[in-house]
Amino acid sequence: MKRTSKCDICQQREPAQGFTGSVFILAGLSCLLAVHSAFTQTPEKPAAIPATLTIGKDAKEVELVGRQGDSLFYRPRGGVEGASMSIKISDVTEGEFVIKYDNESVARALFSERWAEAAAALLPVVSPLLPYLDIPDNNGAPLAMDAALAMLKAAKTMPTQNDEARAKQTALYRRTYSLFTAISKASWTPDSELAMLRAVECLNAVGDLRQAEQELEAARAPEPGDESYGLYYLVKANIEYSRKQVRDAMNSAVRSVAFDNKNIGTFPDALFMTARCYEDQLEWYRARDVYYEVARLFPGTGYASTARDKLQLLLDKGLTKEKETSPIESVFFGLDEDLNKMVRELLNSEAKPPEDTDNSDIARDAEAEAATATRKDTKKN
Amino acid sequence: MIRNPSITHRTWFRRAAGPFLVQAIAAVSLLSGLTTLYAQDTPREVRQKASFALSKGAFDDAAGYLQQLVDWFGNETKAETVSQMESVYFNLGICHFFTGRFSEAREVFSTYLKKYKTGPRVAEVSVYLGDCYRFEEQLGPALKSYADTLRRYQLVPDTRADIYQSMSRCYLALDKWDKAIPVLRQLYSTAPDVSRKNWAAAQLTTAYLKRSEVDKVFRLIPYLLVPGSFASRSVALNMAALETGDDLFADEKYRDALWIYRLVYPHDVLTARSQQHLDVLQRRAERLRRAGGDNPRFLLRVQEQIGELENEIKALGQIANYDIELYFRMARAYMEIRRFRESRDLFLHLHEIAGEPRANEALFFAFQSAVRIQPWDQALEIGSQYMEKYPGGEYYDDVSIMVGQIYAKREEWPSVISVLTKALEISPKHKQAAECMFLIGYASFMEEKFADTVTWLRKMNDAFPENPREPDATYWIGMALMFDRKFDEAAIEFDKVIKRWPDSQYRKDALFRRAVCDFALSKFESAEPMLLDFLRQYPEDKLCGEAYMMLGDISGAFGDLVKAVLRYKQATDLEINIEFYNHCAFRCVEIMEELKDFQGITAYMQRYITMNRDGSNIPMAMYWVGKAMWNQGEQRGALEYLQEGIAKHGIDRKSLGIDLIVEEWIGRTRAAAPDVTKAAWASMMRLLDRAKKDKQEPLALRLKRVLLYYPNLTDEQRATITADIVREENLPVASAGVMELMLDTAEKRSNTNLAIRVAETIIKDFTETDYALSARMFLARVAINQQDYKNAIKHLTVIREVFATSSEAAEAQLLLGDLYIKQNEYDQADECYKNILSVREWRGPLWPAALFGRGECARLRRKYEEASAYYERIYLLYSQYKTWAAKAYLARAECLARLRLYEKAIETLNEMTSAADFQGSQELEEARKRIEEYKNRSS
Repeated sequence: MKRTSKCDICQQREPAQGFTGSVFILAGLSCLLAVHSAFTQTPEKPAAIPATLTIGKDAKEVELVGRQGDSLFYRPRGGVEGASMSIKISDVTEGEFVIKYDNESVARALFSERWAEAAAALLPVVSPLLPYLDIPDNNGAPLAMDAALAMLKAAKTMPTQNDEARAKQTALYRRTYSLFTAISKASWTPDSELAMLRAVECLNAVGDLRQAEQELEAARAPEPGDESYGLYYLVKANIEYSRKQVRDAMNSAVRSVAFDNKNIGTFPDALFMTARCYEDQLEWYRARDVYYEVARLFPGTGYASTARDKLQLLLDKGLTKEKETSPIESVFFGLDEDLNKMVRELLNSEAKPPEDTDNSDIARDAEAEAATATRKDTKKN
Repeated sequence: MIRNPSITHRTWFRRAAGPFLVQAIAAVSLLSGLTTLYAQDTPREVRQKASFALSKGAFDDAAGYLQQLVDWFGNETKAETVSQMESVYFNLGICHFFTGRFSEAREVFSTYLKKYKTGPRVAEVSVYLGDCYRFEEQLGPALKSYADTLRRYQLVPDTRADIYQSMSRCYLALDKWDKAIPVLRQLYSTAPDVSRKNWAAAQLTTAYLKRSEVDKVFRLIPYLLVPGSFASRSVALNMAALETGDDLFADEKYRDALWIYRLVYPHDVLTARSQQHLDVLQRRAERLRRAGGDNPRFLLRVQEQIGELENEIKALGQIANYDIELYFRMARAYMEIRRFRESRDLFLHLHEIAGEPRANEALFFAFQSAVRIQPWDQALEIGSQYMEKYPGGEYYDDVSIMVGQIYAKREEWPSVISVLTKALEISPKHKQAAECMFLIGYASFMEEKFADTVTWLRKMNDAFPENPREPDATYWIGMALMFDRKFDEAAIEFDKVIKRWPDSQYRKDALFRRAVCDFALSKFESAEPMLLDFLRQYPEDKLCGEAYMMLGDISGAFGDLVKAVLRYKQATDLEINIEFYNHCAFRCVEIMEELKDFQGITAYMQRYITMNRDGSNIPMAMYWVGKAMWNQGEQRGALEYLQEGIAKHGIDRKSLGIDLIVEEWIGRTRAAAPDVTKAAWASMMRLLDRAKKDKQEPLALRLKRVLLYYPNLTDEQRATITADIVREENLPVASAGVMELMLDTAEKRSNTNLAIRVAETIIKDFTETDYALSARMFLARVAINQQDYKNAIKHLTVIREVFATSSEAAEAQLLLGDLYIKQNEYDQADECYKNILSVREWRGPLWPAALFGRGECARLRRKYEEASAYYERIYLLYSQYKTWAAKAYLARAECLARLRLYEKAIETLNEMTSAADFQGSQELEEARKRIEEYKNRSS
């Protein structure tokens, strides 16, 4: 596996292990901000992209050298520079780029939520592929999506303590927007729709609400069960919230929560949005419930940490101190729980990691089990 | 219950943890197609062919070449050859492995381990050895082999994770969850990629669900919610979650149940996504096979995933679709934890996708949820949808009453009436019929449909005697009757409330209203003790002020002026609405004036001015203070005080009390000593100058009107001033008094257009004042002259309704009657005349006019007998109104003639001609002529 010792984008040396997280993130961010990406500027001479194109039943090993409209230009792998053939993209059934990158270190960065680092590692890999992402069934689109999501998260977690920092964040959002827009062209994959919505999210983040609304309007309104459902309504909620239409934002966020909770990329954010709306509408009990849910369901994440802070604040202010009253008596109230008490217990407990490492001797246990299993097998035979 | 009886997770794991690879590998073995004869080939050629076949993923072909090389060189001892054979043995093992020949592969791998104890791929081979046992379902040796590998070799995380995953699979196949959990934890923390981490998380979750350790499940949730992950497709995980969710739901642990249910993918989604993912995996496997073997374990992993997934899809096909029940449980759980927006949306979705009766139930619950969310617009929308879709449905009664209650809370009374009236029509045995009727009655009261209130509430009391709403209904019947001025009947209802339900919340109010009824009926002797009793029983009540006010009125009526003043003062010391407050205050000073307590008036009004409650009439109070000062001999001071009032409040053109001060000031200057008058006028002129200078136009206009009363004003000066006032451009700044002058002047000068505009402005700016009444009457007359009856009726109707007790209202009714007759609408005309006759205060010239109108209505409908009776009553009862009496004689005679009763007609007219009252009148001449005519006809 190839290990990059320098950042491919700006040729900065990777920081040594043991750097603090923030230094690391900043280093990664500077890479992202300095990038002269392929999707914003056309390089003078684009690099040839080695790929395998499946055309009907034939697989051709080629180097992609450019495209014009819906025509791809290619030459056989190792062919003479300058000579190329063309083919309509619609005639290609599948494409596979030769992609080499250090996937283990990217995975590690993603797991450790070092988004800028992950994005910086992926961006130079995916940038040259962007013009070709609409080739059906290619392996570049998912990777580009990973890169864009990492960039988005990097932008979201960037420090914004002053104007300069905020300007950098805006710039990063803009670049991320461009990347998502490029991915959205890959109409063969469901990622296309998701990328389009993420692009809208970037516009909202930089305050370009009009454009965001226009692009969301152009997107398909999904049905419950669709992959993009949660994201669509989360993005809609975000825009509505930016417009201070809290009630609408609440309804959209609730749709996201109710019909699409199986996505870590949207569900906690949608929950937070509902909690925020509850707070804005002074529905403290419901805000508490949702923060409690986030803290319980996403332990060890930044979401849980924020939720715990919010819960502490609600408790400190005594906003849910009184017993909750209900205006109409005749509705179901089978629930008998003291959520304030549960919240206090949660806050008093340590924020546990998702899963403890087990210290048992696996090899010894396996040998013991092996003996039993082997005896049984022998008996059976 | 959601759980599927046919598949429990135990049976599923036995099935699912089995050796999938065998099927998957069988598919790989079919890919070979490069079989050639190799015995005649040279070793170099065989090596090349093996290498080519491997690069194409043609393991079967490669195996043949590689076996040939083993046959040729396997027993060589030359170090170089042995070393070259290392890769041959490794690849041969791989080829057997990937073509499903596990015992052959095991044999080759075992040989490798013996021959190459320090070989570069010894650890990897050791893992494959374990895999061979596993795929041969020899789980004991497999586990032992993996354990050996873990102990003996330094492994990279990637390989270590493979071993943990394989060991987990062995334990799962043996149904040894306790043993599997530590291995899965190791896998979870070791795996360098999302895919295997997620696999571990999913299996751990399943294990924890089996053990009902939900807290541990929650800690894994971030790793389960990964789109396209194993967790998103695992049938075992979904089934386990359904079962655990059911158990928690049954234990009423709704919050935990909800979170567990929310892990479950809907059956439809699961099926679709699993199939999609299978396609992706198959393409990926094909790619890896085509790309050849840098790392065959990648291919192995994908093949294992394919095998697992195919089994998942197969298992899923055997599970009945649980989506509706799942959504229902989730929605109910959200409802239980008061997340009503989520439950509303889920129930609405359920309503869309479920069949009956679930769809009905879902819409009802969606409504129940929406009711808990403010604003209630969506609740009403869903409620209406329910009532429209399921008229008379299972929950129709509950929905309709709740919709009615919401409308009632929002004070949308017409909607309350329409929804609940319809509900009672659709569901005649409505289970909340009494409540429906009560609400309809109450809403009707709010809409001032008092007769409807009485009808509905009596209907309720008759249909549901002794129902809990009976005291309330009886009270509101009383209120409706009272507001309908049926005080006698109302009193009966209030008495009922007081006597039958002494503990009712309405008792106190009924006691008070009972007194009001007697008060309104002028039964002051009985009203007074009732009010005093009320004050004794409820001395702190909010109605005490009003009670004192009525007691003040009663004392006034009895002529006990001192007591009246005392009671009015007590009323204004208490909480009382502003209209009553002003009534008491000014009635009080009126009486004090009669008592000549001017000092008292000054003090009381000064206090009123200081209190300055919202809605207080300060100019009126100033008027009283000025007047009292005058009566105490302070002429100069009084005039100055009144002028101060004018200066202070005259700028507000809408202030009505200021006109009273102006009139008072004018009147007093005429009675004051000449030097005082002179000084007062001089001061007023200065005020006018200042107002003009400061562009205080409303004040200036008012003062110009005052100038019209300047002593010794010449006609020319008066004309100039009037001309200056009566100009259309003054309308926006003119006070009511000024506009009244403008209207009179314009009317006198026949400047109808200006008069109309002034009248319209008065109506617009002083809508419910007496000024508006006159203006409307003017406009009505203009409209009648122009035969614009529609407009005339509009104005007269307003006068009749808004100023119902005024004499103008009676006049309006009379005019309306006449107009309706002109339009041949006799019923409406008769109603107007009847209304006039029902008000005792309007007795006088209006009554014979109204009786005549009724006679006309009957006559024009050819009911001559009835008509003649009305005419007869006029000259019998109201002979003092000669014109009406004369007209009545003539009209009656005509009716009798129509009935061919000429003798009676002549008799009637003779009676008229013999009376002295009509001598010299036109009617007398007419009567004589008709006598002759009827004589001729009768002969």
